[in-house]
Amino acid sequence: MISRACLRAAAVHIGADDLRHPRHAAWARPLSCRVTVDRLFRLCQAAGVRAQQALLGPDATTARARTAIADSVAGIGPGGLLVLSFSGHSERPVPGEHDGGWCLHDQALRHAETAGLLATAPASARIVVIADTCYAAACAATFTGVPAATVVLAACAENQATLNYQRSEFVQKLERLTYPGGKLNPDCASYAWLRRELRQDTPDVERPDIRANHPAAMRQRPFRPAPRR
Amino acid sequence: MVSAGQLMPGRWPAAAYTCLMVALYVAEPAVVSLTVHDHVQLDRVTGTSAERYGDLVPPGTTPVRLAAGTYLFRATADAQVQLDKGAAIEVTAVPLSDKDKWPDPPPAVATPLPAARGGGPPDYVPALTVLR
Repeated sequence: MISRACLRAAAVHIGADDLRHPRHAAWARPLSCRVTVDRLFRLCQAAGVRAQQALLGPDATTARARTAIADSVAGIGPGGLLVLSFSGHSERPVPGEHDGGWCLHDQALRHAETAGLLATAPASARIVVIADTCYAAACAATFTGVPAATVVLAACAENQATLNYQRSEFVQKLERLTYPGGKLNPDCASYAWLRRELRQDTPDVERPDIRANHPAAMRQRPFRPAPRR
Repeated sequence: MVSAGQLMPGRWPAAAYTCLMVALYVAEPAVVSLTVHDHVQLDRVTGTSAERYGDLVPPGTTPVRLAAGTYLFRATADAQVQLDKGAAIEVTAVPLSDKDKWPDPPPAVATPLPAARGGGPPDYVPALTVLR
């Protein structure tokens, strides 16, 4: 349970490696979820995020994810930081039908619904979404209406796939570039820098991306709440 | 949303998902010539993990020396693999989705290959040409 007192910074990590929805249960079990959650938990801890929740396996239900996101959004307060990460399978957007979604234990959490939950954050808050999955950048398109500055760190583009390995190269690289060994990388001064580095030396078929709903957000130092006024 | 400081439309661009995945089963060390149209990463697959093998392969034709093992690469456009005569290598296009079928039966001695972490197959699968 998260205190409603101002947390300033909070994180919700979803690792959906136990899928029960008939359509998703037939797919190969995602292998890297737990390692990814561990790494991102550590990264957030190094960034000063104290209130963190991990939803793994059968706990990664849409109901729990909604509650965790809503509670965290309510708790960070003006100028606060929320990190939301997802590791697992995704459904690709189907134009005219839906914008895609993350495959959780019971069913897909549609990006539009996630956007609705994030939209309740104060406009002065900062939100970081880490999507370690296929079609990862697809969620960014639904976050355009979120008032808070929202940055999506995506393992690949919306029309690209990632492979189901035991470790995510994207997450390893993200940790190495931001908080290697738990220490802040002083070179990592903006999301624009991080984007450039993440994309360097990657194949055309799977290239990470960073997208923000406000141009100024690309100049923010990654994983930092807004400066206190 | 913006990417690298540029404003983007509010909906995702309707870009096609295009991907060819190729497995190379190398029984004995050999040199293969890869002809690709994009920057391609070659991975050496071991069980459920993989290690990057060498630098990115640039567009064009590149000779690549391979030790015995299973290798994988993905490309966004047609690819060609040229093998020396008698090379103990099996090359095959691999389905990217669990829902797809293998174009041919997978090799009996195949190392299990990873699937994508998404449900849908590519909109378009580029062609693989194998020359001996």
